[in-house]
Amino acid sequence: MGNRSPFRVAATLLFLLSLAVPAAAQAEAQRLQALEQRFAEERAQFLEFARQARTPEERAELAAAFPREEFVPALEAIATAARGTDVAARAWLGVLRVGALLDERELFARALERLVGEHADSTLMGNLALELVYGAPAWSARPAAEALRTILAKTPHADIRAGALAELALLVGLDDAFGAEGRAEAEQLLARIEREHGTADFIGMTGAEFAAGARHEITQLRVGQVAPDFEASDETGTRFQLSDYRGQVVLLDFWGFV
Amino acid sequence: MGLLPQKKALVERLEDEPFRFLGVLGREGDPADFRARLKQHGITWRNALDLGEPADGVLWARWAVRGFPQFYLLDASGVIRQRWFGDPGAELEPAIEALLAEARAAAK
Repeated sequence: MGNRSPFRVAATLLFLLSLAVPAAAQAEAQRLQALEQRFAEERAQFLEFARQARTPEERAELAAAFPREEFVPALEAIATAARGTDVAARAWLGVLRVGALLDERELFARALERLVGEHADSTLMGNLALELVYGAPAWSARPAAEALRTILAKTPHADIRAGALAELALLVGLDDAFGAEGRAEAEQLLARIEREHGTADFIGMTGAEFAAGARHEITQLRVGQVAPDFEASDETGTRFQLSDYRGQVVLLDFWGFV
Repeated sequence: MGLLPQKKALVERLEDEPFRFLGVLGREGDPADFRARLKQHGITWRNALDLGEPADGVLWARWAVRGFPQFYLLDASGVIRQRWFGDPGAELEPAIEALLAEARAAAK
């Protein structure tokens, strides 16, 4: 046996393994990044065509033509290979995005389950929470609310908890899919925000300010309500009222130069 | 500004329809020389300016707007029919078409 005691052999093997694991993880991360980039490009093109599609049939054709098989199997493979790491979480986020884009509800649900089930501690839950409400498809409201409740309960990160609180309150309060139950849940969440973040900074304003604004939206700015009238000056200095446009379909766009 | 090409295409396509695209320009980003910048970007549609005296930020506050893009789609009776936080993607145009069809049917 000489100098090669079992302990030294084991230590050497562990050392070699520790070199191998980061290299493999790096390969997965690189593969993932390439997929994310390609998906962003394909998605942009898809949305461009989707906007021009005039009928549900045309839109369905577009969805069928999307190169889904270039993404989903590869992303799932990365998620499996990198299981338990943020690389896997990002991969599942990628699968979620495919599901959202192509209205594949089962795929969306599966990815969401993996995300909140296996990655609740991750800082990526902040990204997930945003994606669930920002530019999210209308049909995803219920699974999104479930996921936000889980994130809220499980995340160890205070800022992610605050974001989830805010997003969940607005989601269940505003979306008619949740009915009166949703509005009651929203009110509970808003009361909690006032209690825990009343005068403190809460996603860029005080908790009290956020709660006041959210309540206003939930009671006055719902789908089905007449939009509150306003008077304003336009870019030429001319005064006008929103109600001047009765008789026309109006798309109101709150925006800014960035 | 990312959605600007889509907005322009929308306004152009629906020029002859009972449709109005109405911007509410807030303080996000730099509001300086907004008139010149609107022109520079080829923004031909009306924008309510929620900037400066006496109304600074009033509209954004009244509509509880915390970030943008934030869209509200109103029908011909002024009723809120849909709202989006973020890019509406493929949902926007079908929603507008449906309301235009409604308006046409009501006019008959």
